[in-house]
Amino acid sequence: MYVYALTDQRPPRQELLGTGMRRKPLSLIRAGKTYAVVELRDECEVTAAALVAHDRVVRRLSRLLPAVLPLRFGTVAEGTDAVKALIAPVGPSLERAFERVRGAVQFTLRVSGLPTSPPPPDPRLGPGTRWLATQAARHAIPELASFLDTTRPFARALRIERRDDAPGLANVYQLVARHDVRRWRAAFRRSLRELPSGVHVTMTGPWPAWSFAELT
Amino acid sequence: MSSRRRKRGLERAGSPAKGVLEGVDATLLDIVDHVLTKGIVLSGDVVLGVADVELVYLRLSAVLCAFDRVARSTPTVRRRNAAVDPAGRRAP
Repeated sequence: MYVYALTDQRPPRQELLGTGMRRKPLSLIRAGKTYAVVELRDECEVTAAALVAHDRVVRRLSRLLPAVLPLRFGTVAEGTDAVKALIAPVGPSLERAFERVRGAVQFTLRVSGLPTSPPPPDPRLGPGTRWLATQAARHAIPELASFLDTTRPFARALRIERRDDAPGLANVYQLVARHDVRRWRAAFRRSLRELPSGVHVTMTGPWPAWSFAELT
Repeated sequence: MSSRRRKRGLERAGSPAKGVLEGVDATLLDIVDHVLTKGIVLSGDVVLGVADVELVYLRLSAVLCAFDRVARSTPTVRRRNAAVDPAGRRAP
């Protein structure tokens, strides 16, 4: 069976789950406090249409349920017992992840432009500290300082991936509570005025919490 | 995406519980990034079924990588193979 997502709450009626990529009805498998949303099928083709369909199913689940953790595309398990065996060892981690994403959505930002040269480390520092400062500067994104300062009050969590494929600078993922979406969007628009010249940001969302569905 | 579409999505966001995930500015790039490289990866006995190939059984972890991640790791593998080859021949 194909596993789309995990949640910690049943919908009011199971038919609200709808159907999966193969138009078969979705169902729930309970494992402790967690429910896995599955479709009875055991194969998937990696096509653009399949990826879009997978995302569409997860998006629908995220509208229906307050805490949804998407699974990566292509996760298939051999029957109910296999699904339960997958979930059982990670129960505590899942509970933390459910609380992280509960009632929240993700915004994705693709940042491109010419990178700013980091300032040289303070020569008064020792060699080890200078090396650490240089390493830290390689991961910092000074081009986004104003954007991050402006939107941070409305973001529950933040993930930044530095890119090394110019002109790509970084991918930024922000987790925003649904009741803060309007304020986050307003802050985002304000932050665009502060962007350095030549830096471009493309924002999409809201998405299910794809980038925050990690087990810690 | 057009500014008109963004504006419509913003207006829908006014009723958060109902329509916050509607009117999204979705792109295939974002979908590929999210669906193939994000999301939970469950470790354990997992079967991956991809591209109509016979199901592959993985005991350790079910990780499906985006192509760019696989491609990025290839030179590393080649260098490592070359290093252990006393004749210095490049691995195929």
